[in-house]
Amino acid sequence: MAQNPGIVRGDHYLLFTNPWPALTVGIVLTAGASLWDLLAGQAAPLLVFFGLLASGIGVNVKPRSVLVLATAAFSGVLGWFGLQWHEGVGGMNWDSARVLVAVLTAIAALAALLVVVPRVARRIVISLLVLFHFGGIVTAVTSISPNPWLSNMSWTYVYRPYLEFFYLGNAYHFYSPDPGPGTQIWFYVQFEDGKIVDYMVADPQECPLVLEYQRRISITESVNQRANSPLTETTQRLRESAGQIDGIPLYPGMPPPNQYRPITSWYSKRMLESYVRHVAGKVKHPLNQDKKITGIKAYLAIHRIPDPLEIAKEVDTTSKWMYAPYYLGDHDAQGTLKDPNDPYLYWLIPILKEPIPVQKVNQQFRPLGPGGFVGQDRIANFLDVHLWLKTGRFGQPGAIPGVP
Amino acid sequence: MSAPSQARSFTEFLADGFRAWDRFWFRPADPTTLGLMRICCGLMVLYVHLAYTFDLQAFFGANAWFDLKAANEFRYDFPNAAQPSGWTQIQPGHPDKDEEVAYKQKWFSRPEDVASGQIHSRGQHRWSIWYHVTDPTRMMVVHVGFLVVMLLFTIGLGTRVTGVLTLIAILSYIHRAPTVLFGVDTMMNLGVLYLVLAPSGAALSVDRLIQKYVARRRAARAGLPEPLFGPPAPQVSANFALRLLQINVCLVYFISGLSKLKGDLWLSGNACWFVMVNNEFSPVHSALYMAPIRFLCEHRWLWELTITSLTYFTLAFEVSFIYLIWSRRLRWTMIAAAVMLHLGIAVCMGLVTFSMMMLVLVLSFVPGAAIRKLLERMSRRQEGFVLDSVRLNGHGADREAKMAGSFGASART
Repeated sequence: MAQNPGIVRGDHYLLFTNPWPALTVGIVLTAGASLWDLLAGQAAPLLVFFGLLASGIGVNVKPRSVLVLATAAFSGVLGWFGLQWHEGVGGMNWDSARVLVAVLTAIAALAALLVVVPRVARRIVISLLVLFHFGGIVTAVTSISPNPWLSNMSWTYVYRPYLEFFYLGNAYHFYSPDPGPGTQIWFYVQFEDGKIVDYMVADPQECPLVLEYQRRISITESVNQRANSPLTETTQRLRESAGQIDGIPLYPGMPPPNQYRPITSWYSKRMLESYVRHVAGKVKHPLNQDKKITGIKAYLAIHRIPDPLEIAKEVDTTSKWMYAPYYLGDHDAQGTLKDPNDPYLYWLIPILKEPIPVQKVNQQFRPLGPGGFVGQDRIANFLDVHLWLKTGRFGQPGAIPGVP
Repeated sequence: MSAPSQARSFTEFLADGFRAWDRFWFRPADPTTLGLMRICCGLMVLYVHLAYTFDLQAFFGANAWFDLKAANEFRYDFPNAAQPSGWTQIQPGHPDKDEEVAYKQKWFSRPEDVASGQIHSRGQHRWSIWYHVTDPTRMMVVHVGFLVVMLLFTIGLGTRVTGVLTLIAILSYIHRAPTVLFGVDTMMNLGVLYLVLAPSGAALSVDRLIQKYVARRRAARAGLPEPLFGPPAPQVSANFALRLLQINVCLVYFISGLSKLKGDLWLSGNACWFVMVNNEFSPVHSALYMAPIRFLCEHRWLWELTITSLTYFTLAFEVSFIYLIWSRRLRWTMIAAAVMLHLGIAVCMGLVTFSMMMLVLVLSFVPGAAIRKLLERMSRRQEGFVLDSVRLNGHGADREAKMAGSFGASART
């Protein structure tokens, strides 16, 4: 008599129950990749990929079999050999793919071990792995300076490979210690005929999606890492003297150390060089695409947060004077800084709105810019002056009076 | 108390601790929550990576913003400095080889202050297909392949395999372009990493539909009546993954809140102002958004009350979440507070994808039974709608009963 199976969960009814066809394909393909590498001396990434995929499908069919997992791990080992790079032969070096394959192999091997051991031992091992994992998370969140010595040791000697590999090194310090203002990078690309074309990294007009725009803002943040280089008397004197010659004052009322913002050489400078190269490839002369680029000036423009009174008065928060542009240097198209001794390097170039808060006497100011209508701001934009200054003109001895 | 009794009570204390740990991590749980998280997370992953299509070359190409030359420099050569492992500071000044001098000059603005002994290792453990595939056409083919895999993961087809492939895809984008990343990428990576460890395809998935189809077919072949399906079986791995998610979410909020306590703007109650009118993020160009903001600015008392309340609410929520979310009585309150916080972040800061991703992670605290109840209610509403339309069309009672029966069966999934 036929019986009603009653309420079933449906979890044990699998479409495929035999993992071995997929595993066999996996072994054959990855072995083929190893053989190809042995004979031709070249990596076979496609064979490795499809081989590991087939092995993964085999594991998916029967994940709790030690033989299946061990076979998949062996397939990983073969795949690892199949991605070798031989210096004499050349070709693409799939080193980072090898790292991934090695980790996947290790995971399969560990899983095979876990399946074999008794349940209690398995739970103990998994518990230890959980503690290891969250130990890494705690190391990451305590890695921001000032941080404990223990955290630094733990990061350096234990966790760095694990956290970097799985991108788990975020410290979760969102908008801390304080939320900062937005930043932009302004590039001014000068061509051999003297024409200057401006380019902004995060231009909302260029980004159809908000997400894309937000990613461009992230790009600007990577150049915003301030170096721990205090302002010296010489650096300040050079800036003031160059400013006297060119008519570009320090920002009135702001302490000079706040106007000097060098960036980290190990990170922000490297990023900036790369961004300059990208801009050099992207920005063309508007009339003649064959014109060569002679220089690219970059400015980190910090966009001040308006105060409540300014919002109440409906001040235009996109006005240029709301920005504080710090000069990041003039670069060639390969990203190399043309003059590391430029007196304006890493200094704020003022953009001032009338009434200008002058607190220093004997300071030279250029005439104010446009803005003759009622309600329109009159701006003294010294960035427009600085853009046209020739880089390296202070390289000669005696170029700045009083400075050897 | 005698010594043997004290020793026994300590042993009992330890045993209780192990049992509690075992219950916390290894008690089977309903995978329905994970199924819903998989769908939501998968949709977010799909959207984020679809958005990359516009900027594939600009972000990941050979001449991207962070170009391949710079990326490989970091990958192979980045200096990893360490503090001294003993009490003595490592002194610079001992003679370095030429290569070491050149290396220090390349990476440090004051190389004379850096001792070679301080540099523990070089390079970073980054990996990505985009380090190797740089031809634009091939990049687009691989990118589309990744999108297909992400779609399959979202609908829950071959979930174990497509989950791993999705994680590999996500990390490939992350590792190649670290300068374009922000919070959504961190959370998306966490979500997918833990979902890969979980049986996230055991519920609300095509895999489950296939299982049911196979069960029906076998029953039909064996001459048995069509089986009725209950909820998916509770699994230890489901609970394990949920716990990992829950603890990580707690840590995210707690550390985020604690780190804010270092800031003057947060303690003075003004921090929220700085995120609400940030020109680069906030919708300050929207008249609808700025009208209430302007109104607040025209009334100082109201401004101070609102901004300070919002700031302290953020601090209080983030610092207390780790404790209060575990209380059954307060759980739904904390989830509601999380929804409010992230709604505020989405509206005032424009970080819609980040907010949605955080709420997907907070879903880990919603019991599977609650999700199934909600789905059943929605299913019954749909059943009622269909029955109403059947009656309107004048079909017979037999047809009505049959349809009620089939909806009743699927509602139990």
